[in-house]
Amino acid sequence: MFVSLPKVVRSSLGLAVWLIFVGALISPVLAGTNQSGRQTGSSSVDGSYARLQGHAFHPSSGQCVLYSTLSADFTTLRQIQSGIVRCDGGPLGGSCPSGQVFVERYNGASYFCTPGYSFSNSYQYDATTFRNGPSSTTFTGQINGASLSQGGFGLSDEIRGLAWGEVAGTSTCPSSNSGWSYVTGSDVHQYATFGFAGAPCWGTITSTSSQGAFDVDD
Amino acid sequence: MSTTNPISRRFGSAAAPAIAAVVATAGIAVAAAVMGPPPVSKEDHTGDPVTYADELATPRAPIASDGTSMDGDEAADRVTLGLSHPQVVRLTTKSTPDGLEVSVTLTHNDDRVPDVWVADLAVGALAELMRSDQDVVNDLISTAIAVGPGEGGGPVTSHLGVGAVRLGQVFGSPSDSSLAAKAAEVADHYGLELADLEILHPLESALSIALVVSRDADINWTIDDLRAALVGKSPDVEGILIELYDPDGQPLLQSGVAYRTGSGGLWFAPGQDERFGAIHGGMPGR
Repeated sequence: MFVSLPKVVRSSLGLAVWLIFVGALISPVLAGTNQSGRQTGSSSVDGSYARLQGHAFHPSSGQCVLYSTLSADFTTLRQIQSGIVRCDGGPLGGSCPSGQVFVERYNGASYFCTPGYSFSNSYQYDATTFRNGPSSTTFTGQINGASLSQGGFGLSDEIRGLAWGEVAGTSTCPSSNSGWSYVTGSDVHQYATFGFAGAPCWGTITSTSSQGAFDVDD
Repeated sequence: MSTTNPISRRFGSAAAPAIAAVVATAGIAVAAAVMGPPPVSKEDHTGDPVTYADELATPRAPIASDGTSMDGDEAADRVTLGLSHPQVVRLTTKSTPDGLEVSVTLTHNDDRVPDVWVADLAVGALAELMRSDQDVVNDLISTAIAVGPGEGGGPVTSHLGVGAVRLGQVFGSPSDSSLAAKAAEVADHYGLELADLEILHPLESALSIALVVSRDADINWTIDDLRAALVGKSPDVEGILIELYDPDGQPLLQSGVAYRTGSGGLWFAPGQDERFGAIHGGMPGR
């Protein structure tokens, strides 16, 4: 079984400062989106990183299925998200086609998407989000030829990093799936952290690494 | 595997055959302290860039009339003139080792979909005029922003998406009269009232259309269906901005796409994304 290992990100102090997260976050059907993933335990993070490896994941008609890492400011409602997407229907955000990597920003009102290069099954892609500098309020997301930035992140806001899976476009599950499964493991931050409730929708999520990696099995 | 440059690398997985059932694997790691931008090497990119248009220019050479690429000032003047959009004041370019930095000055900017869309059109056209041997737009332009005073009077900066999109796309835009006729026909077919139509010419054509959705409308189509009906699945324009309103003039949804840069913007009133099948990544729990 493949295990994705997180990487060291060095701080400006020259120290290898790490927080590794194992969080489960599962939401109900909201805005036509089914979501699941892991969130950071810390609420004051400056970036996130995930290694994404897509296999045969299949959206149903009118859907996009996407996997990503993201940084979200839950105080000012800003987000930057880097990932891979497959669609059966319209592109993500009108411009990010199925089979390409993407970065999407959210400014609290509108979403903006930009595509990168195509991705292939069974290869790994490094998706990152990061604060641009110590006192910067801008975060940037990058993955395989896609890069986009979003301003307006606070310096002392509730900002979390997440490794995230979503079905977007319709409020039904992909046809091959009947329900989500919850991530288990140590230091799991359950979906209730954000007060979410409701029936999830996905395949089986298994914890494969004590450092935060997980698999989603279709 | 590198531990210093995690960006934009693709790794083969020897384990892949054994995990055919696995959909995706993700690990997440987050630095608690300050992270600076990691180094990015364009040579690390793999896969294919996006091509929206049916055609690519042949030969893959600059499209300026004399066969050479324009410099920044010349291209900026050409695009500003071609757009003739009252919101676009000027474009400026700055060469850096990573590529061009482009700034679009707007008369006003609130980082809304129409603000970003018109700036995206300008950046895409500029890139097309300045390209030489580059294949992809973000090989030429490293960053692009739109700046202008916001509602509160202070400056607002929008970060523009410059994607991995092929340069040299030929959209083959029909005449303005043909575009207008098609817009009217599609509006009628979808039971929408055509409230406003504007055709811009960054290089070829771009369409800005406002439509009114009747109160009793039965929406059995998506915003992507509507966009494809207006400009085709392989678009015949450089960009399209669709604004949907209710009969009282309240905005329901805005979708702007600029096909030369790959940037797409989406705004919607509560619940209208589901109503019109507008697909977007979600903020967790939203």
